[in-house]
This record gives sequence, C-alpha cells and structure tokens, in this order.
Amino acid sequence: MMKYLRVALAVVIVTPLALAQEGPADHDKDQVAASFSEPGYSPYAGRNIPTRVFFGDTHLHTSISGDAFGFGNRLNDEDALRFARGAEVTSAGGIQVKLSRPLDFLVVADHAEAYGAMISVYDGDPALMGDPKTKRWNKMLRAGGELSFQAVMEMIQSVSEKSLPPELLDKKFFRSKWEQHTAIADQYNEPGNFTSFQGYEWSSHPGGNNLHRVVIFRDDADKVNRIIPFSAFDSQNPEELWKWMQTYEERTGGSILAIPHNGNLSSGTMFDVETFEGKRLSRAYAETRMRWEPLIEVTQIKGDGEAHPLLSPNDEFADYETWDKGNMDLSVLKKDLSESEKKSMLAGEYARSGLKRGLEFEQKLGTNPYKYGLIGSTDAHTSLATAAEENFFGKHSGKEPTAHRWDHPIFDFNGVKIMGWQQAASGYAAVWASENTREALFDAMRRKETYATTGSRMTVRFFGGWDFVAEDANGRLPADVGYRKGVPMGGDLSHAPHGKAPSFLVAAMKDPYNGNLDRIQIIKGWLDAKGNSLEKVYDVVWSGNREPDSNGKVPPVGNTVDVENATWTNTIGAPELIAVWTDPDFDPERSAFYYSRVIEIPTPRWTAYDAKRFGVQMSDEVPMTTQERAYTSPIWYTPGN
Amino acid sequence: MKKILREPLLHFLLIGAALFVVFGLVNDRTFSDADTRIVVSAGRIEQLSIIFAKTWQRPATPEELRGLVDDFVLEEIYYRQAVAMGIDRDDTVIRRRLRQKFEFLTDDMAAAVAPTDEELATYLAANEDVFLGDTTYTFDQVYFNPERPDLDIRVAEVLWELQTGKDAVGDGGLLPFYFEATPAQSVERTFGQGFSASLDALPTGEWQGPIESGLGLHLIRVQTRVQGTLPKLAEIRPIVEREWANEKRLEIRKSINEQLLSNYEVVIDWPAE
Repeated sequence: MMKYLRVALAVVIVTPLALAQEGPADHDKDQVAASFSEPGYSPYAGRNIPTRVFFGDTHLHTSISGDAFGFGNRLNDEDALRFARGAEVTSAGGIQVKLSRPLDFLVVADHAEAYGAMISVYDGDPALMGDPKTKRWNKMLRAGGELSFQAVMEMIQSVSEKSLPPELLDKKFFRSKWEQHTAIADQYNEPGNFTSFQGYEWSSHPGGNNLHRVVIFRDDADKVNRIIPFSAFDSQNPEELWKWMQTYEERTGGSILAIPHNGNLSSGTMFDVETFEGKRLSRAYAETRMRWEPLIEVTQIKGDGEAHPLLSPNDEFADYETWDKGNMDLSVLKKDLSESEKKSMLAGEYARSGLKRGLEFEQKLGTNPYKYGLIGSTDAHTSLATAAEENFFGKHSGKEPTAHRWDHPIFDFNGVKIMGWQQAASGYAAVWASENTREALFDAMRRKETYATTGSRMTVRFFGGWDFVAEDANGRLPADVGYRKGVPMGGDLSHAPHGKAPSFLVAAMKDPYNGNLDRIQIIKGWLDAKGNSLEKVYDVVWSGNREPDSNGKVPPVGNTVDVENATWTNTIGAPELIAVWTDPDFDPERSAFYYSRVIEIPTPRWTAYDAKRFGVQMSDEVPMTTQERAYTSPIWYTPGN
Repeated sequence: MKKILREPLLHFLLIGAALFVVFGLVNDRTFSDADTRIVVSAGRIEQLSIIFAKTWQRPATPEELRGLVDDFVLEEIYYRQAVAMGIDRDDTVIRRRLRQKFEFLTDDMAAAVAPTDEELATYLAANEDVFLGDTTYTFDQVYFNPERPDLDIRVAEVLWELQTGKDAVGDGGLLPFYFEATPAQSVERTFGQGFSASLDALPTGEWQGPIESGLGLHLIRVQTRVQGTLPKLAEIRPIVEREWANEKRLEIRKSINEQLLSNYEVVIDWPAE
C-alpha cells in the first residue's frame, strides 16, 4: 500500500499541469498505455510526465564575495545572471565569453562572511580603514598582482582564525549589500524561461576543514529581505544554521534548504560520526539534518567527491579529478597520515561512503542522517558558470585562460600548493521538474529528483520498483512506465513483496554537444548481517559488443581523442543506453541504496584545449583526456517493520 | 521634488555640470588665493570625530580631536602640494583610482535615471530582435540510433510507413516523440546547434527526413511553426527596463569618453613597424 501511495504522490508532484488538463486525477494509465498501439492516435501521449530536465549552477560567486573580488573578479551578480541566460560578456581578464547554450537556472551564492566588504576595503571606505589589517589589505589589493593574491590568502586565513577586523562585520552595511543583490536576483527571475534563485553561501571551515553550505530560498526578495544571511561569524556549527533556517521559515512562511559541498576538503568532518560539538549523533540530529539538507554537491572545480580509490579499490572509475592533498587551507595534510587514518578520514568526506555511513547510523538511530540526493555545481568565483571542457574559465579570475594557468598554483598556503591543472571543469545540477520556476525546481530539489553531472548535459532517468521487466526498456515511453511502476531518483522503496528483488529502469541520452556514452552503472550500498556497510559497482548496459571479463567488468570503451588537436570522434560509444536491472543479491531484511553512474567516452580535458590553443607543452603528470559522467540521486530500500 | 530628481533630463544636465567642474580642475592648474587658504568646516570636524568614535568605540578627547584636525590640515596641505607638483601623475595606482571614482560617479547618475513608458516603448520597437519571442515548433519526431547496423534501410522503411499513415517506432525512448509549441532555443538545447534551422527548411504537415542532429537521425513532421511576436510593453516592462538601463549605462560611459576626448588633442607616437 505504502508503495502505491508513494507512486501516486510522485505522479501528482510531477504532473500537476497535465492532470489539470486531463480532468479526472485518477485517469487510467493502463488505458492510456494501451492506446499507444492504436495507429495514428499515439503521438499526443507522453505529455503528462516531465519530458525535460533543467540544468543549472547552484553555486556561483561574483565580485560580492570577498575572495572572488580579491582574486580580481570585477563582474557583479548582474553580469553573472546575464551570462547564465546566454549573453556574451567580457571576463575580468578581458576575454569575450559565452556559454554554448544558456543554463536554465542559477543561484548566485556569495559568501555571507564580509558580504560585499572587500569592494569597500578596495575603495578605502574610511569606516573600514581604522584597522591596520584592513588598511594593509587595501594597499595590497590596490597594488594588484601577487600582492592582491597574498591579501586574499591572508583574508581566508583570518576568516578561519576568526580574526577578521570588526568593521567588516557591521550589520547595517551587510543589509544594504544583501538588499542590493536580492533586487537583482528578482529582476532576472523569469518564470517559465529562467530561474534566478535567492541564495548565499554559509562558509564555515573551522581549522580549515570545509563545512560550507550553499543556502537556497524558494522565495522572493520581499521574504528574504526580512533577514540577513546567517554567516559563519554567527556560528560555525551547522546545527545553529539549521536552527536559523527553522526560524526563517517560521517567521516568513518561506522555504529554505542548504547544500553542503567539498566534503573532500573537510578532514572527514562532512559526514562525520559525531556532531560538530563532539557529541554522539542522535535521532533528532539525523531528522533535523535531513529536514534542511536533502542534497549534497558532489562534484565541482575543487575536485570530484563521489568515490575515492582508497575506499573503493575495485572501482576503476573511482579516481576521477580527486583532490586529496589536504583540507581547504592545507593545514591538515593527508600525506602525514597512516593509511588507516587516511581511510577513516576519507570515509567522512566522499559521497558514497557518506551514504553507506548513513545506513549504519539508521540502524542505530532509526533515522538516516546522510540520506542525501546528488547535484553538481561549479563554485566558480569568476561570475561565469562554465563547466564545459572546451569553454572553461577556471576557479577564480586569476585562473582565466592564459598560456600558463595550468602551471601556476591555484592554492598556496605556506608553500603547500595545488596547481592550476588540477582544477576540474565541473559541474552542473540537473533537476527533473514540471516547469522552470523557483517553486517547481525547489520542490524537485527537496524531493531529490536530481542528478549531478561533471559539466556535460546528458539526460538521465532512473526508476526503482518491484515489477520492471526487460520489455519496459524497449517501450516507447520508458519514463511513463517508470513513474507508473516505480519511484524516480531520490525516492524510497520499502516492504519488499515476497520473493521479489528491486528492479531498476535506467536510461541515458548523450549531450548533443558532447561525447557518446560508454556505459551505465548501478552502485549498490548495503548492510551485512553485522550491520557493516558494503558496496558494489554493477555494469548494467554499455555500448558495442564488449563482453564482461572474468570479474564481471566490462573492458574500456576505447579512446578516439586526438590530444594534439583537442578533438575526438563519436565512432565509439552509444548516443543512448537503456536497460532494466534487477538486484541479483537482494536481502529484504537489510537496508540498501542504489544510484546510477553514467559514463561518457573519453573526450579532451580542458588542459588539452589550453595546450592546443596556447601552443604550450604541459608536463606528463597533467591529464589530457576525461570521461565526463553523471551521478543520480539514490533510491533507498528500507525493510518494513 | 522627488519626481524632479528622477527626471532624466536633469541628470544629463548634472552629468554635464560635473564634467564642467572636472574640466576646470584639469585645464586650470595655477595657484590662486583659495589654494593657500585652508578652512576646516564644522562638518569636517564632526566627520573626523565620528570616524574616531567608530574605530575606538568612544568619543575623542579634546586633545585627540585637536590632533586629528591638525593632522587633517597637514594632510590637506600635502595633498595640494603633491597635486601642484604633479607627483600624482606617474603613480599608476592613483591614476587608476581617480578614473574609477569618476566612473562610479557617472554610473551612479546613470542608475538613478528612470525611463518613461514612451522611452521604453521606443526602445522596445527599436530592439525588436532582442525582445522578439522565439519561433515555436510543434512537431513529431522519430529517432534512430546511428549505430544500428541496418540504419538506412530501417529509416527508409519507417519513413514510408509514416507517410502512408501507419504508426511506426524508431529507437530509444528518452527523447519525446511529440514536441508542442517548443521555442527554438529549447529545440537547440535538446537536439544540438542548428536543428531549428533544419526545422525551418521543412514543409509542414508531412513526414520528412532523415534529419541529422547531435544525437542521431530523425524523421520529422512539423505540424505548425509560429513566428515569434513582439510582446507588448506592459507584458515585459521589467525586462525592457532592465535591458534599457544596461544599455543606458554603457551609452553614458561612451558619450562621456567621447566628450572628454573631444576636449583633447591626442598625439600618439607609435613606434615604426
């Protein structure tokens, strides 16, 4: 019964318009399906499910963010929104830039800490010049170049050390900058065409361990102007952020959610085994966290956080754009740890291990604290939401295209460096919704009907249920069958019918501007009899006639990349893949999660385009090809009572 | 009064006046009596004490205030001497900073200008291409995976079946086979660059193809193709105002650049090739 309720709910959520047009809400889908076979009648069906996925960036910084400004970004929120909607703009470095095609939505998410203040430091606002530190930064910023870079590094460290000058924290100043931005965000929000969300970033990184969250509102300026953003200066504890979010909803009647990012730079504190204050996780903690944080940002420029090769040694695709030198300010270095210490730290950093940890805690607490869906975003500080390899404008304005950006450090803390070439041209958030509005997209995010991509815009469907059969993959309307017989990505299964294992309908279509597809995989995480979590990667469907080897692994798809010319051909791979897969090792007594990973054929990495366009030779350690991918939100199985 | 302040004409006059003042400073750099007399106004003293109080969280004592005023007087003297001696001229930081302050000034003025409905209507009419709605297409499509071995034969078969009124299927199912009133931009996003141009070339009401896209091959029946129309100002006023303001900002900057340049004779000593 429960399952049918959920299916019905999913259909109601995704199809309000279509249902309204068709009249009776309990229309007989089987009858509709049967009519497909009648000649000349069928083409008009298929409209009552979302046929389009919306792509956007939930995490973009502009010159309002202190660090972005310090790195030389002079493009503001308005420039960022114009660019995302498809306009050509001039980058801070003076290069003309345009997206291959517009995005559907954008969250300008500037740091709440010292919001808009760096511009005023640069301007030499007398109210800020009393402090010797601010005055010194002012001089360094004005001098530009290396000194400007140094000022920014000092600023980031001051935020970590809570030693920022008090003038930068003035609330009245903050409010004026916030309201200036919320007006712009409303101005560019065009329901049906382009969604511009109200939002910001809460930037807590105690001890340099990244706990940042992007905060997104469902509401207009009239509601969000009734608050000023809760910042890490108010508290570095995520539980305090959630309290404030609760207060926001109670006070304004609005809706709000938060998306953590860069667990890979958190020293294991993102999906931790204890709370911020070092207490044991409780059921209340788990419920509160899941109330406010339905999603995590799993891939972005500062590395991909789906899986780590040390945690998933049997997953040959796990080592993708891995950033594991240390935490955010490189004050904790992973090379100083033993292998077991490193493993236990990584387990609190990567999405897959976090999901597994969630199952373990669910068994103890009754609620899963890490039951999150997945999205990707850029975290670019350039006001430019670029994630395509051939059009990548870097992490910050100092990393816009130049002949030597690959060879200059992107982070440099006391001589420990991360190099420019290590930036990942990633990623975007894909959201299945009924229409392109703040409300529809926000609600889809809350129900986790989302997936992450590393910058490519492939279409991915993923449904779980008990009755999918192979023919469902050959049908004319897989998505229609998916909603009718199961739950979409982000959904729940429970109460396994006797003798049945969950089956999944998974389908992907390539990005028409990008490479073909290599394969679709399903990643399963589950608990064994002792309550320990396990994982396994299944190749579910792949291009060509490749035979799995003795370990069941499908061999590599091949490689058509011509690195020297930064080109490839779509002579390998497939434009579309679809399959039904049933879990071969299902135990109805044990919790599990399933998510799909779609992998493209190799294409040139952004470094290959740089090498070609600037005519530079990069060192051997620099990767020149990439396999773009998508990660869907999981579908969870929880045994009934 | 408020209405007058928002009057565009007044703002252009103000910008002109500001420029005049600046030209005066630039063009006439001789010392006059006014340049050797320093007046510290009550307002200035108040500002100095406020900054002090904000920094130290307490009011300044009379001695401290005297010290601040004396320092201000010296700062003013140094400033005037420095400018008179021209030592600001070779300093890139000072020069850039002054240019930026000047630009802030004019940008602020441009931002304060509120357009009338007539102005916006004229702007809308003059920029039809920007505000014109996308062409929308209602069409059926049948998709073929270009990898399939019998591609040409199968495409021809299906085309014949469709053209003779039968129902036939292609490959896959992720791509909808019916697109209703879909704007060109959205068509391009789904099928790749140039696809809407392919649709433009097709007659309506009949099955055609195959047409190539970034995904594979398609048989297409365009049912209707509706040219985008120009919305009325009332329907899209905020968008028109936004675009108008953006253009105005750039325009004012450009016209100021031109006015400034017209006051100078510019000699550029290009190195010989």
